[in-house]
Amino acid sequence: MHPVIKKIVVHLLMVLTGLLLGFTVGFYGVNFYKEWSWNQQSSPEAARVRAALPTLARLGLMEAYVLKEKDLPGALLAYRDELSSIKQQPQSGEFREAVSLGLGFVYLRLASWAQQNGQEAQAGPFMTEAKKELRSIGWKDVSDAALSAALDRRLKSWPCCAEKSKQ
Amino acid sequence: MSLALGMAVGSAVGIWCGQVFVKAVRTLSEMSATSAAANFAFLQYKYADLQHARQALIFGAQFLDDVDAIHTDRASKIDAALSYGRLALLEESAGNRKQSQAYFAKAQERLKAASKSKSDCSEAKVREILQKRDRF
Repeated sequence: MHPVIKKIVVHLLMVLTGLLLGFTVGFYGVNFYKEWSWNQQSSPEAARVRAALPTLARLGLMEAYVLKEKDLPGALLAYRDELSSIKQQPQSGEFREAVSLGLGFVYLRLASWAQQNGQEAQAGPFMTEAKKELRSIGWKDVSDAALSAALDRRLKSWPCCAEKSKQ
Repeated sequence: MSLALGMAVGSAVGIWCGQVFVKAVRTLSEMSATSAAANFAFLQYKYADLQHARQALIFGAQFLDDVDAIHTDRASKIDAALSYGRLALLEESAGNRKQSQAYFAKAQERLKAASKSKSDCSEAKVREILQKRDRF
């Protein structure tokens, strides 16, 4: 290889290595710094948001996913397992009721799915679990009719499901 | 020299991408969390007994206020206004008039802060908004 070309190639390789190194350091450095500065905020508001954000964000994201994927019992079961594990964590404390509400709706949707697919034997236990969760957070009426109506309204209030039900 | 040049450009791009990434993740996470808190408060208000509904609405309004205090967020202000408005209606139905008035004042304050123009933020307006939104 011509020495000039060789030199150019070596320089290019060094530039590329530098780019890669710089990008990695810059990208992770900013992430680390932002996380660190977020944890340094000492106001009571920031402390409360820091404590609540992970659980509530997970709850919100999973709910959005599950409401969108309305025909997937697998997704609902995975969501139920995830919520159950969050509920058992000691730090879930004051969010336990929000998690119970999520669980209640997951069981309601599972019961509704089982009924629609002719699996009555499964629908019963799911409905029982839904009632247990929702009664534990103070729901006044946990009759089958009231819960079905609540689920129906909830799905209709969700934009993507409302669109689907209109179609 | 080439390595230093590459690193300088690379780190500038990396920092920019990192900032965009962190902002996107945080925005998504806050949006999900505020939506979960607001939904929880609303559903408990709609279906739960007085004590649980009150607890959920206070929790929701407090969380939305906290998010707004960290960085001003119009959506959080509106959701907090709705939660305080529902708390006011709840206390009114429980016969706690003084408490209800205090919550209405908070709802009006959040609504005023969220409004771009000098729109109507009276107690009657808060009632009207809630009546429309909670009707189903």
